[in-house]
Amino acid sequence: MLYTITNSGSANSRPSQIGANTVATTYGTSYVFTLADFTTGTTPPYADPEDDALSYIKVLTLPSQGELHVNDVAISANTIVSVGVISTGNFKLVPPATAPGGLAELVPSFTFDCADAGSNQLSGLGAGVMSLSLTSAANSAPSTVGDNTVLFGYGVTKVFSAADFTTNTTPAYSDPEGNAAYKVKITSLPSSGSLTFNGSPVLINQEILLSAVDSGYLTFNQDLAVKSSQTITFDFSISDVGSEQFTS
Amino acid sequence: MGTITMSVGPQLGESVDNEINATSFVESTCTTTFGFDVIVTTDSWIEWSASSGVTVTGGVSGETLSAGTHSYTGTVVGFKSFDATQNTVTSNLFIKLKDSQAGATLDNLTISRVHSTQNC
Repeated sequence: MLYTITNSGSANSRPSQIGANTVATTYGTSYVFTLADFTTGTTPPYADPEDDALSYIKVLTLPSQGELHVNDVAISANTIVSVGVISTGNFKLVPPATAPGGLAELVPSFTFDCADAGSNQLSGLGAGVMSLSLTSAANSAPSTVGDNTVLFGYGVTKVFSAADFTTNTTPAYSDPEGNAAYKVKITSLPSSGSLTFNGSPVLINQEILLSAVDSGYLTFNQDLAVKSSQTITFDFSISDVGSEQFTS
Repeated sequence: MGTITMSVGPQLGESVDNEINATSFVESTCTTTFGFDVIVTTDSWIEWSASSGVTVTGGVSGETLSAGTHSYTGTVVGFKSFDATQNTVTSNLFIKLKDSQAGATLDNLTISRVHSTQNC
């Protein structure tokens, strides 16, 4: 007697293809992974014989810099991360606040494997690679430059200090990165008397190191022909040592 | 952009005939006190206009000065500036010495106080 065994169905296959990808962020700024980062965004893209969707990934190794977080908690290697966690924005890379060791850029990476929704099994093909391009955020110009009023008597030569343009202003100087003030730029001149730097008249938009201001090189010489009280103004801008950009 | 406001006091010195001469000018956080005198050699006329908070003692604006020395003092009460664009406003006293009420101006002097964001 001959028996014929017929396979009425086949077992669902594992993913047939996973790939590599690179995502970018800046130091101090978390990156929120998307499903596409592990599927259509990889090279080659994620593929499954039955076209089953991604079910979960498994983080095989951790990046050398920064942390991977699930629901804002750092994870370890060999952690399963479900599609639900990724699609709701709860799988993140949290990079260091600043470049370690002063390095401008680093590309750490972590490895992962993918499981499909049909077999619910990892591909076993080897590691997908997620590279993380970390760059330093652009340094910003000072965020706050304030006004200041200085009082002095007739006949007095006003010798400015850096504090006249920074700590003594209202509001006081501040910078997003906490960088120190660098230069003052004189953007308008007093209507009476003369502003001088090291004995020479200051020109509009002249940039002066605040260290030179603190050395006493920036002075205001009043017009002694005016015997009344005077209220005289001039405008300035400040740059910081990080960006060397002036406030607008 | 920031603004530096320089408040320069009036010239203080020896009195000169037929001129208005500032004799004192002292600024503190909330008050400025000042003095000025006038030595006229013939009958003259003095008048002034003042911002709110400025007071003058020793005479009144719009009076005839007889020949001789006339001394005045005054105060400016400080206040917190409401000028958000510059954070400073100025109180002024504009003084004018004339040879008569409708006559020629012999001299003038302005005394000012700059107010800041400091609350008094």
